[in-house]
Amino acid sequence: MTSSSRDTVLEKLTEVFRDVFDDEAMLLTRDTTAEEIEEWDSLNQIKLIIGCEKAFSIRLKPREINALQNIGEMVDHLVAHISNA
Amino acid sequence: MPTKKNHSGKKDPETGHLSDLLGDEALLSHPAEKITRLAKRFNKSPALLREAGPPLKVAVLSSFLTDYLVEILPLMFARRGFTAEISAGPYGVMAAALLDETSSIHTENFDLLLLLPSYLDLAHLPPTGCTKEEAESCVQKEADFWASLWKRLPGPCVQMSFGPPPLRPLGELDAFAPGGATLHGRRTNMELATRAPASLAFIDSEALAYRLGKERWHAPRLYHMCKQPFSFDAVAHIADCLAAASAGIFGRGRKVLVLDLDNTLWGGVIGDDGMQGIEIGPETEEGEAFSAFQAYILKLRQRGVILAACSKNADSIARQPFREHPAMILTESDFSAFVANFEDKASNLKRIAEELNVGLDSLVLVDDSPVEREWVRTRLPEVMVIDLPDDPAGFASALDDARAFPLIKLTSEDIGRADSYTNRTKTKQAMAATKDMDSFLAGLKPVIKVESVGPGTVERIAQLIAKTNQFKINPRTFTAEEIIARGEHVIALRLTDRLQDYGIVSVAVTKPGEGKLEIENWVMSCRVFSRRLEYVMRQLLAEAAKAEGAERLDLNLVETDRNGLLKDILPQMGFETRDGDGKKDVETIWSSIAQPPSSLPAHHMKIV
Repeated sequence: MTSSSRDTVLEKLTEVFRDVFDDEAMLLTRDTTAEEIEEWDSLNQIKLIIGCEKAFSIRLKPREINALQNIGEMVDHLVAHISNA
Repeated sequence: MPTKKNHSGKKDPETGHLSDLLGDEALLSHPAEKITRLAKRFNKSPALLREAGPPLKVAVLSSFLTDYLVEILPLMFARRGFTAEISAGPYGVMAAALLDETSSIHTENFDLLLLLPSYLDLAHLPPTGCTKEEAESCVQKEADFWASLWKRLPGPCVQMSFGPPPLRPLGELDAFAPGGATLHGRRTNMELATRAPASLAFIDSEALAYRLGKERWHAPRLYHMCKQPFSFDAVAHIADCLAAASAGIFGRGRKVLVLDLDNTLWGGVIGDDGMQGIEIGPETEEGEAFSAFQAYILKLRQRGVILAACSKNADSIARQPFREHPAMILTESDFSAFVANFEDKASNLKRIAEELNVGLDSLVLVDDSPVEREWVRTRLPEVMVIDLPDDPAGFASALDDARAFPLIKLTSEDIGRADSYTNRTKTKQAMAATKDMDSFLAGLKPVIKVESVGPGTVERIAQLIAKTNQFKINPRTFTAEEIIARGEHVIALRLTDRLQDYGIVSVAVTKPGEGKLEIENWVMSCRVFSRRLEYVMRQLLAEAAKAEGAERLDLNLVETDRNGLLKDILPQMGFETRDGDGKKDVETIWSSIAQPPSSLPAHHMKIV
């Protein structure tokens, strides 16, 4: 998987986050964690999972997503799912 | 050929102004994540929230997680004209909260309760292979349970009916054999509907599920993740449906359907294409579609929606198809107002509202032209503007899906309303032509019947109080049970004249007090304005006061943005206030001696 496709996934993921948190200025980096986003609670986590599934046309396992440590890991996880699909 | 979809009127939830999006009838066609995003932004804008309309305190009781629903509800209520404040308890305590008299449902004064069970709350599923009788007794057990809860309802309530279950272990028979869960849910809904109190309205979950489709309705994964059995798409629709039904309960549903003519009721332009050129009737595909649309509109009229025509045409040309085209389903007399000229639509809509004596927020516009729709939307944001697709085959559905005319109970007044408005326009025209108002009113030979509270009248009485907006002294409503409890202290008037029976059109609810008779509420339908019916009520109130030995009449006026006319009428009928100029939505006490002033003009009505 090339770094450019990782960038595309991060971009799309940022859009999902912007929708869920209604924050058009929101910027994600690979190091961003849940602690840094105030409203990131368990209910918004579900919205993020459903939002990703829709945006990337994939199915995710909530337990696997919950175990991820930061956005970088999430991007990698999504990239792996997309290439498997 | 695939159906063309019209995106011209569609707004983008990311870039559009929040206030514009409130009136966007296509909002529900956006993806759920865009709608929730908009709702989130809306919830953060208290100024916009307050502008939506009168405040409404709403309690939510459900058996599933409602956090997502509660996030969207204020936006959906705002679109129906309310500033809603939502309180949701923890889910799963529906019965406990209603049965416990100390719970907040009973102690805090909520205006409305939303009661939201899901198919998972069907507690007496009939066993597979049971008899018809056993299945029926299971239905009765479900209904008995709900009937016991309903006894504890604190006030008006909207309840979700049981939607179809996601699985059908009996296959097709699930809907037909006595042990089928699908059949059980449907039969339970029917039984509940017949036993529900008048203060409760249902939303049809099966119709919602049908509209979205099974895949977009059920979300078993979400249920496992967070106990929400419906998808996010479904939640947005449920919220809109609940808000629309609530608008119906509080008389804020729309009343008048304003129809453009060319390319809306028939294909083509009558002024250019002529009688032979327009498309209506079974000869062409488009003609069929317009016929189907007209047939749907006629159904709406029959249930009480008032029709108005608004067309950029010369009047005689606009009327020609109604008079001469054999395939037309709607006739001229179906329209209570008919405006055809070359003025702009916004001015004409104002004229129609004035002629029918309704507010602009009672109007729904159906017009094929995106330009006209946009013009009206920007000029008159109070008017609901339906987004039509390009293909006329989709017109009826677009209107049907908008939930513009919520109907809570179908009364005989609903059935006769459109006729009544048509006659009203005639009466008004006659009035304008008559110089001698007194002789005109007397010539109508009006008769007032004082109706007693009973099974045949109580629902109409409660409905009239709830639905009236203009001649209404305060926002207080009464459930059917409360009306029955007040019995002889309720004065309900039926008006009949040589033209028609208008039904019960005015109600006063009174309460005897120390030396005074308090008027808890007093309403009169706008259909009978200028008939001096309020003078009849004033006289009857004086008689009621006398019978109670009271010397004074008292009432609480709460000024709203719609009942301003009362500030002129009340002094004319002898009422004074010491509270000075009232602010909007604040109570002021008005008082009068029992006897009406002698200066009050004669009402010319026979009272029986």
